[in-house]
Amino acid sequence: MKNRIEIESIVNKCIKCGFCESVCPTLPAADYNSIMGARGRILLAQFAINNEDQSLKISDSFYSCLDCFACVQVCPAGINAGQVSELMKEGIADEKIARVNPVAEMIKNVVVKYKNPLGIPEECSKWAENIEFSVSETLLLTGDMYQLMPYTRYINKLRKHTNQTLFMAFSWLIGKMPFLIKLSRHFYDKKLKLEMESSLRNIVSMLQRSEVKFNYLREDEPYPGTFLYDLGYMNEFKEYAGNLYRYLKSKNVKRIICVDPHTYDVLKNKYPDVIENFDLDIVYYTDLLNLNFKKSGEKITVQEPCHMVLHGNTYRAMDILNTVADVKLPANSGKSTMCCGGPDELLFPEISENVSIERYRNLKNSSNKIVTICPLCYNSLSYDDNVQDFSNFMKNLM
Amino acid sequence: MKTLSSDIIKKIVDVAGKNNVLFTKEEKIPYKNDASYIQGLLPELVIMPENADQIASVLKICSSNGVNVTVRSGGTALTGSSVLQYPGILINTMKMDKILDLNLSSRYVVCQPGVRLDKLNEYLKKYNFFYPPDPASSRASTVGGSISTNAGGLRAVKYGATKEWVLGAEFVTGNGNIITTGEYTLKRSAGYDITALLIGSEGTLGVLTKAILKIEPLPEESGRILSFFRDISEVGMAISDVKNAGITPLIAEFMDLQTVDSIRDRMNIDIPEYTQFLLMIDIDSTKKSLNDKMIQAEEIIKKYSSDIIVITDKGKMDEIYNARKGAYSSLLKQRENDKQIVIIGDLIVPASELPDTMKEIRRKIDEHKIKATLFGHIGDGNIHANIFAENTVDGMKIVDELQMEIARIAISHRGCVSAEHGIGTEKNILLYEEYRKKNSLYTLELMKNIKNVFDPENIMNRGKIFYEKQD
Repeated sequence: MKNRIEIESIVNKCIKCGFCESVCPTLPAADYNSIMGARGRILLAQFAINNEDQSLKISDSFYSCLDCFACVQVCPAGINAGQVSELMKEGIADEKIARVNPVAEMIKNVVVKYKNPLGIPEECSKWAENIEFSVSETLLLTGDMYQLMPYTRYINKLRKHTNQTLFMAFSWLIGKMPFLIKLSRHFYDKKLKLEMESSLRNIVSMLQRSEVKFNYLREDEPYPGTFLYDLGYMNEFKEYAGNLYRYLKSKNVKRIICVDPHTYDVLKNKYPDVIENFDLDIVYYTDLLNLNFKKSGEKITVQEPCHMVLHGNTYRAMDILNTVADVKLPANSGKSTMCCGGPDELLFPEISENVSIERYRNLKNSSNKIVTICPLCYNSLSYDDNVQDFSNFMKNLM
Repeated sequence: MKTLSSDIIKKIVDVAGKNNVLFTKEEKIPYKNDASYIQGLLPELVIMPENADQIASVLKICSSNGVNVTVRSGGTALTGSSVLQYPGILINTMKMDKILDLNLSSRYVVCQPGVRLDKLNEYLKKYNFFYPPDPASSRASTVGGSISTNAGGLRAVKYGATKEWVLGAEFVTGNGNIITTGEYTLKRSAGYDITALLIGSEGTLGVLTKAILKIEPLPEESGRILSFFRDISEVGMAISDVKNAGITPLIAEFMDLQTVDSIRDRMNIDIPEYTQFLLMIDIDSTKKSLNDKMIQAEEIIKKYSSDIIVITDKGKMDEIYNARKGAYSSLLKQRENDKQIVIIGDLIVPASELPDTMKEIRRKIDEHKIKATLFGHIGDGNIHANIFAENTVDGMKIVDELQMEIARIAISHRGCVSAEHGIGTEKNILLYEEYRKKNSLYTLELMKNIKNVFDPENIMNRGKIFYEKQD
């Protein structure tokens, strides 16, 4: 296994204190089955690399990791259990050290074939109809995350009423025949689609009123391959990222504006690892807003995105919110923020839902009104109408 | 011990519920370890019960069929008490993670065993109350685990260990009887104190399923004094004088230089070059009188230390407190290689005996030419001697010898081989030695007889507390 030494160097430092699993959102969400928590993942990885036991079914343990990196913040030995999951997923995806999840395989094949996780780039750009963009070296790259949410929500609704084996079989079939994914264009949550498209339009509106000049490629917009990275397909990701980088350079792009934390994180931190001399400037849209927002005075709480606060990225959204509203942060905030469960929605919907319910309750203890700054967080936590995406909340204060 | 028959497995699954049992090897692998260096056996089944009835039914089956049972919750034990020494099943109480009742005027909270201690205090803080026992592992350790080891922690100098804070319990005995012990009251004079017997029993008597815990209002105000010393005797005299002046610190911690070095960055304070030992004491009081108490303590400590730092900023205090709580883990950075392990020792002597005990321990460590650091709770005489060991047969043999020699030093100073981590498998021989030296091996026999009443088939957590020669 090519990552063996790297994994070993991490897991051998582990003192098994269990601090990581005390903050790992998936452990209680999976009824405390230890391999679905951070310490269990470390111990399982250690066992797996030292014992070549092909009969072990270890995939779910690592695929279920939310990559939120809450574990990293509390580990006294400085270990990154989240990174172990990433490396193990890479071993599963690229070297088949254990069974590859059919849903992961389906997503990989669709992304590689269509450069879009749904195979419907034209649908993903509809939100921008009638919006004028500038000719610019700055490009808005949506990353398709806002657009994807209505589809995943609907698919999971269907899934609750479907046999799990049937769902897996269908995923396997799409993995083999990726064109079937195009059927997904008919399966989306209508209300959420309106909300998500409205969010994207509001983001553009706020940026344009902040006099930021930028272009958008509409149906030619490429997907950045975030899922390939998240699911451990590093060989495919490297090739994909290289192609995308060359494509963007051919379009004379110098700066990219991201609108969701996952896309921002992958472009800002992962692309430079796989592309030599990566020279695109990656910015988060909230950092470009230059508007005099009205004061809302409302009491709100905020779901801070893991991919910003726990992955070491900085952004201005919290500063902006603090100037317009009475922000009451939940018990788990800042470096102790808790994931919304969103990243598990496709592969482990039950765990995802359990995490989201726990986090929703946690946030509600601080304030009835919740503001999210990530489409996954919005999708996971919008159990009532008092949950608003940052873009929609701020739009009303323009 | 034979592998479980399919018939017994079926019976256990029927009473526990299929969704509460882990069967596969991959699911059971993490349960071979707790936070100690001791690796246990792979459990044949892991049972994740939701209530006392399920546990009682499982234990009845196990008791009737001679199936060994190990109990676990947070898995933060440092002596191997929550891993299997003998083949059998494991009961993990983490699903029982609810806070059931809170009564502020009667000063109690009722919890299930899987509630983590920091979660409990996060909950109580909303009401300006707290549950004082705070082992360094409080982030991950649980009500069940801390009761089973009679955990202490930094605040024990003022509030005592867990045993001072448990009013009553619901408990399933090894033979499957559900009993309730103690009461919801702060006082009770009604026969044998069975609750006290359960505290520190390390899963050898049965499974705790509910605990009635005493709680306290949060201290109104507190401040911290850090001072630096060349010699441990000066540390001992400083803390002794503070206590003699009628001030009982909230915490009183000492660290040797190597420990200080491991958390220097996290503490982020100026440490004088001559420092060989650091003393950290917290004093709590009302807002009105805190300043007076702090000045009084500071004046006393000044007689022994020329450099003193006083901190009252809560953020800074938290930063240093967390650094100290993470001292053991931070020592790992000083390992020469990833294979080396750090074995955290735990013994206690009367506080007045601590300086002499420390000097003898240091001499013994140096004789063995082993790297070891010392820190602990000087206010109550609790020393953690942390040994850097090679994880080999020869390496561990040296560690065992040193542990025994250190234990004998503690015993000779009227101390005990374990202060707050329990006995587990790591210290069962040391416990035997303690009672042998005290000429009181009959005490151990009494303990075994008590176990026999709770667990007549001797299935519960075998190999823990009592040394058993394996076949």
